[in-house]
Amino acid sequence: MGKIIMTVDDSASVRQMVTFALKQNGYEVIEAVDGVDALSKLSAKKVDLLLTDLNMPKLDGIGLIKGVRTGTCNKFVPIVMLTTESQGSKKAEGKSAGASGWIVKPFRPEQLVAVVRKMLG
Amino acid sequence: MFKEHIATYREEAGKLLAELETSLLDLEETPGHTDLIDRVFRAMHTIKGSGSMFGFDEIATFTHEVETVFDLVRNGKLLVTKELLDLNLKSRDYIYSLLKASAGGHAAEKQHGESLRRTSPTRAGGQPSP
Repeated sequence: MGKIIMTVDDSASVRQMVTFALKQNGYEVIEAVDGVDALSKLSAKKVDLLLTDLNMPKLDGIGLIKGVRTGTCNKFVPIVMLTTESQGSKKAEGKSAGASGWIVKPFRPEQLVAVVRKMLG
Repeated sequence: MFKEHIATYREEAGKLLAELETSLLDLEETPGHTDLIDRVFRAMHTIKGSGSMFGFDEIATFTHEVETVFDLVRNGKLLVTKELLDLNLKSRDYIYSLLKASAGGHAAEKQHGESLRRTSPTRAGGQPSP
């Protein structure tokens, strides 16, 4: 059974690309469309890695990271933020909220898979 | 990148541009509505960010400039005015023409994009927030 990764992004095209790249490499993927959706799914399912966009409706990436770190089920899961170059200050905010790392958009599928492999050891 | 990802982006960007138009028109009625301002910013952010992922570089570059203007609005550094909304509606139309052109439609007029860039408050000097 492959490791379970949750990808959180309000962009359907990014979710689709991330899911495709990870599944091709043997990972099981759960998709969520925003922070609220992610927290709801994470309350019932343990995952091995969380990939999250930052700018999302309802609950953004920073709010999601804080919610995960103060929750119970996935409190210690590694979290990678998917950011854009223009969100430099958000990286620091995300790190202090408990993110483990980040990938800057645009990224290629193989870059994503390399980061995921590194994070999962 | 696979064709289906690009097709998903085109569909997504089309929906976001439709939402963007609605939000900009609603902002004319309620210029200080923070939810609407956030919605406009998020739509542009996604069009830009996802566009850069799937090779829509011209859309990503142009939208980044428009997004920067709305980030100033979001942070209270620029007021929502009729002129700003008109400029954003024209920019929205230009992004739509770039999207259509990328799918084999009529080529977008780059001069139009450049003239919109020149009138952007980040270049021309906008009306700052009090």
